[in-house]
Amino acid sequence: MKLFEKKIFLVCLFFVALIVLSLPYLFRFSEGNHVFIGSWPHYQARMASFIAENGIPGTEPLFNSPYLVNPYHLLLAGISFLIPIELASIVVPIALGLVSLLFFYLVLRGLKLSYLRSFFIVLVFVFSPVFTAVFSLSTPFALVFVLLFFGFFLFQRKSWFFFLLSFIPFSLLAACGVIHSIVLLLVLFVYCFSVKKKLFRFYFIAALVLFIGLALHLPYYLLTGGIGPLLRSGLITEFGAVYGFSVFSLLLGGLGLFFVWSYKTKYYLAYFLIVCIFALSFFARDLLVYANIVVCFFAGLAFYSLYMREWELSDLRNFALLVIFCCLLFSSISHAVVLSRLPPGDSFVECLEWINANSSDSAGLVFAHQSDGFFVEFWAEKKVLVDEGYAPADLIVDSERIWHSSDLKEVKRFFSRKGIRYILIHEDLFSGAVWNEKGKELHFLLTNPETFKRGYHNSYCEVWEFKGE
Amino acid sequence: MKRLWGVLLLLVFIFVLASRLYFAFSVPYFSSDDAYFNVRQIENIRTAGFPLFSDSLSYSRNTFIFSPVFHYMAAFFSLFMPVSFAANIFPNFFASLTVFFVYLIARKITKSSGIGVLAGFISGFVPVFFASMNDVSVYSFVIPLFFLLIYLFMRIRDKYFFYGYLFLLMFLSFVHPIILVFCFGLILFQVLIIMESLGHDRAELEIILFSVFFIAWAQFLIYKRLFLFHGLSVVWQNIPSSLLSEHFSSISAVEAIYMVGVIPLIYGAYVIFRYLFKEPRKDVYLFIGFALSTGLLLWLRLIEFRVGLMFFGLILVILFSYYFKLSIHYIAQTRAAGFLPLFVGFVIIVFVLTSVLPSFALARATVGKYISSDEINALLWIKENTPVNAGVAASVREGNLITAVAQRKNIMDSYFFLHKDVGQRLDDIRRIFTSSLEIEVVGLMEKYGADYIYFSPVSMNEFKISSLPFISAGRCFEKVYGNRAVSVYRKLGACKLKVVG
Repeated sequence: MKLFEKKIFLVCLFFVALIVLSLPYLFRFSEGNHVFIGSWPHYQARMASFIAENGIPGTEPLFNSPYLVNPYHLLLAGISFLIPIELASIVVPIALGLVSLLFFYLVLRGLKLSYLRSFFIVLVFVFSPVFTAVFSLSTPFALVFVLLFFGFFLFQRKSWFFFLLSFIPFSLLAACGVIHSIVLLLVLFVYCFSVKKKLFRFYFIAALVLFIGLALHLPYYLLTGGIGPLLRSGLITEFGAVYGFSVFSLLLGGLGLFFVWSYKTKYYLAYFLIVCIFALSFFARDLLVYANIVVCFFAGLAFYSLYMREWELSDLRNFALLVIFCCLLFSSISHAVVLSRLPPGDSFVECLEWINANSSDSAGLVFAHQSDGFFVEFWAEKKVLVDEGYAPADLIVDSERIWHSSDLKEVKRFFSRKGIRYILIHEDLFSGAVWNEKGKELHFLLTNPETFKRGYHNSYCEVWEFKGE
Repeated sequence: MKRLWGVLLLLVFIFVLASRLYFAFSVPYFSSDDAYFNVRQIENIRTAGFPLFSDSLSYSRNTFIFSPVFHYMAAFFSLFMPVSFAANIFPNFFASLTVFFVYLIARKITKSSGIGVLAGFISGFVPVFFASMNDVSVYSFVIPLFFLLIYLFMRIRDKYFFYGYLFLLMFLSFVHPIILVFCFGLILFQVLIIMESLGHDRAELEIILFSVFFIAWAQFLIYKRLFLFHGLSVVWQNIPSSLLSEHFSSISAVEAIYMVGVIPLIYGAYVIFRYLFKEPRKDVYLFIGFALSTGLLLWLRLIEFRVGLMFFGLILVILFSYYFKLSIHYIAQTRAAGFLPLFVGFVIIVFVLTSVLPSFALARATVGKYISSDEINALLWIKENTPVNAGVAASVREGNLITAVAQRKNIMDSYFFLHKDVGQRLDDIRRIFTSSLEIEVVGLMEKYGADYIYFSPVSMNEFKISSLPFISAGRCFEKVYGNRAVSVYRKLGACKLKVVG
């Protein structure tokens, strides 16, 4: 009996997953930063807080723009009654990660994969950077995975009761976004077509998803001309992407594809789906997280095959397997470090809390970099000119011009017109985000004592008050 | 007979080493600015025990991310001799070892010691490789080991060679990222085998799989920070766009052929053509894989042009040995068999004319470009007569000289990683040397904390100027040192840029 054939290792794997998911926060806390990670998670937290206090809004509370209700906001809002939203933003994704892992394993077993094969696929999945990112950052992706795996698990069962139960996760999944709905339908179609049964069930689900799409997403599309915020990420995590693939998973995945290439005629639709997901993920980066499941699947198969096969160079076997494992482990830990260093930090939050504490409700907007918008909205509870979700092209152009302006009159006029009261500057803006050195352009103009006053500063950031024209 | 070939090989090695050392020691200084970076690292290891990973003299207190194995080994040599000697002898000794490793490979594939010795001899005189004798280049150390690794790979089934391969692979993976060329070569080798349906050797597949993962892992382990900082563009080393084309290719096609050697190129190309399109043969495919990977990397500009040519040239030498064996075999079967010694003699003479002489000519040209004593004197003057924390504006090609010889801060050198403003800096340096507005130069000098301008033939050549245009007009700079080639200017302390209003 080979080592990993003992099922206790599966239980161990869940503990490993818990550690992997905790790593970004462990690293973050150890560096003295106690704020939950990421820009979009702050948006989710703000919306959840608002829902918990005021119920589901008709429009985006700060900008009055159309708001598409997301089940993840409801989940966070519900949990925020039990624990503070900041803590919920840390705990909920991790919990969802563990649940999704369980259902992922059960789905794999439902696909008639042996215990050991499933174990290796789950192992590779646990150590994939996307797993760490999705279940460490508080975003709807964490819920999407659970809903997909849970729904699929129910769908695989023979009983009609389970099938009817699968309506719940699938409808919630469809509510999470158009892209998720399309992927769901494609996956179910390929599954039903490949196993040559349950096509009837698929039609039911398709009708349900279509209905939700028409009821929820179509009005939103008609109002905004878009399908909601899309993910922005690079492709490879080792090169700095947050939701990308690991180079090693890709290498191992390529090898796995090579091993199962002979099944191509039997599962041609599945292969077609994979190609589609990969090709489209270049354009819609939300698909990267699904493409990652595919990569992990093939990588897991490759790892399993390498583990099981008789090696000609028997002396090399254990060493090679160890190196492959180290590669996966390295990319996971390395990505956890990257995630742990994402903004905001404690010093930054101190600046934002100062704004919150020292301004009245009626005080004007905060002029902050677009990437800081969600942080300001959550911690300072102030509106910004643009954030990552609300970014009209003309405002983006205007704010870019103001950051680089050396004309005091122009800046004063703009701030007065837009009702800007505070200007938020921090160290990262000087390392390429806006400038390459201090004391240039807008930062230089801020030193004009007749127009601006430095309200607060610490080692990382400074808040300037605009005195008015 | 075996002993004769052994003696002959040893003589070839001694001849190659002696030739390299002759040229290397024919000038008192090193031939490139980068050589001084390596010398500085070696000196620091010798004095402090560790390399300079963070250099207060390099611009913006540069953080260097590199593997110091080569520098440690050179520093070890320097325990027994002066650093400048060790920096010449150690790389050239290793580079000359290529002769043995190419001999082993050629003997293995042709089963002829004679052809092996000939291939070894030719490998010692690949012009572009030979001409690097005064560069204190890490490639002099890596390239021979690269070919030893190939030889060990060919004998992987032998237990000792297997362990040797594992050890060397791990070692090289931590020495230099050029090992990725080996990785790509192995992958292309497998692709060729699949395309020609030649049947897999499981042991080879296993070792290739291991090698690919290990090499990739090691690179990400060492250079993780660079990958995260620069993303995919890390392959272009963050070299400013104006220097990039020069870095990857400033050599014409004819020069490239001259640098690789005409004979190995023609016959190597013939062997690639023959075995790729007419006669599939697995053992040749290994080298075709390496030749294609090097060619592809050169074509995609992912590898420095000269370095790519070094690999390409040496791989072609091995492919040439195939051709030579085929030719001898063919002639031996014809009525001209009696002329075989004449044929061999003819090949050697042609080779001497097309590779050995070009190697010497190129080496002479390289040492001809050495940093002159006037330049060194000027740098030493800066070292002795300027404040310790003074900054010196010089061409980017002399940044390492400023830190290594003058021991003063530069405002830019050839290490571009982990900077976002290299393009701007390079542009500003150009403006310092070419601007006719003194006020602009003063502003730029203040921006980068520079107090002196080092004006040398390199700057004259680079910026196409014979004197600094702003000097005659203004009163902010004074010439503090001058000799036949170099002038050093000091910015006067009273001249400061102020914002008024």
